[in-house]
Amino acid sequence: MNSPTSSASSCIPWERIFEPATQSASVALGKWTRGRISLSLDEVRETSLDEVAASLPPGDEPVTMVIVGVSGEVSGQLILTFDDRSVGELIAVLLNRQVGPSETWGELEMSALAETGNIFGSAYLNAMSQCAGRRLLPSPPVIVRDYAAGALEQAVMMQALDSDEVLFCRTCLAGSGNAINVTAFFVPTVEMLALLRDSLSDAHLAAR
Amino acid sequence: MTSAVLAVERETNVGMGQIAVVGRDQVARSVLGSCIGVVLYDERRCLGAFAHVVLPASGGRAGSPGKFADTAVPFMLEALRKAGADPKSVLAKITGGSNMFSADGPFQIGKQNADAVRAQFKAANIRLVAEHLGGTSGRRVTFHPDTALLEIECVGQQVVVI
Repeated sequence: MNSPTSSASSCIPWERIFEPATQSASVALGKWTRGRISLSLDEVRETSLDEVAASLPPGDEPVTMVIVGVSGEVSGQLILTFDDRSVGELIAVLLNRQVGPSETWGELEMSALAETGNIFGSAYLNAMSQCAGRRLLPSPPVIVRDYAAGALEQAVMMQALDSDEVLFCRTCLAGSGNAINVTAFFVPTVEMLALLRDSLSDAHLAAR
Repeated sequence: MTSAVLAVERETNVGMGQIAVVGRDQVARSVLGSCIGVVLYDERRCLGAFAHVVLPASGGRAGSPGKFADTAVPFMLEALRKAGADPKSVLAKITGGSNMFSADGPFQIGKQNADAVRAQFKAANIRLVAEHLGGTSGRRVTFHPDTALLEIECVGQQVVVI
């Protein structure tokens, strides 16, 4: 796993929460894909609003996204973004057969993709719940084909109400050689950020 | 500290809260979710300003003028005037304001953004000539000051030009 980076302006060790979440999701997705996919926490980013889109892979072509909302006491969004090749390869791995373009997908292909979001979201949020000491529950995954910048923009909106800087976590999923490259974003709301920050303070105090 | 107005190239990507002033042979592009793409333009002089507005009201908070509807519109008007536009000839077009996560509830930021932008136009006596708003899809938009046309792409739909 690569060493994640985080904003130099932040002294908060966000990785203490996001690393275990990524590890947990990696193990779960590894089982789901028979070891064909692994994850690495790429970056916990605290950035200005105008730089949000720069966190996405280059280009502004439409992508397939699996969006998992966080429900419970606090909320947030998990957004998995797949380019066309990656989403096709992933479904092929899961169904053990080649698949056509997204327009030809049936219930089975959509279900495989939704389940990937479900497994990723559940494992990620379970680990995060343990760190935060609160139950964070995944909502049913929603699959959309749209512009990733638009979705990420909407996800950071609640933080933008409070600040010109927004925080999100970027995770890279890779597998099948280089054929599958997926970028996942976890975007907490202001309330969840406060909860996570508090839990890190508590952990820090307990460790002293 | 970054400038409030983006340095423009032939094709300028306008990020959240940013403003670009574009002229002949230039275009402004952006991808919008619940944000509003605000275009003010002087068609005769082939000049336009594009803002990627994030929130309805600044409430006196500091920040990039393009972030809020109530600061973006006056700032764009002044930037256009400085670039040589006639403020009396300036017209407006807006797009964006979608609800990509299809969330219900009273907090519909896309609609609030659009309402706030319209209120600013009214206050500044700017005529809104076209709008393409709402829905649950993102938009990839391109403004051409040469023709004053705003191209809007939604995934799986025909390109709309307003």
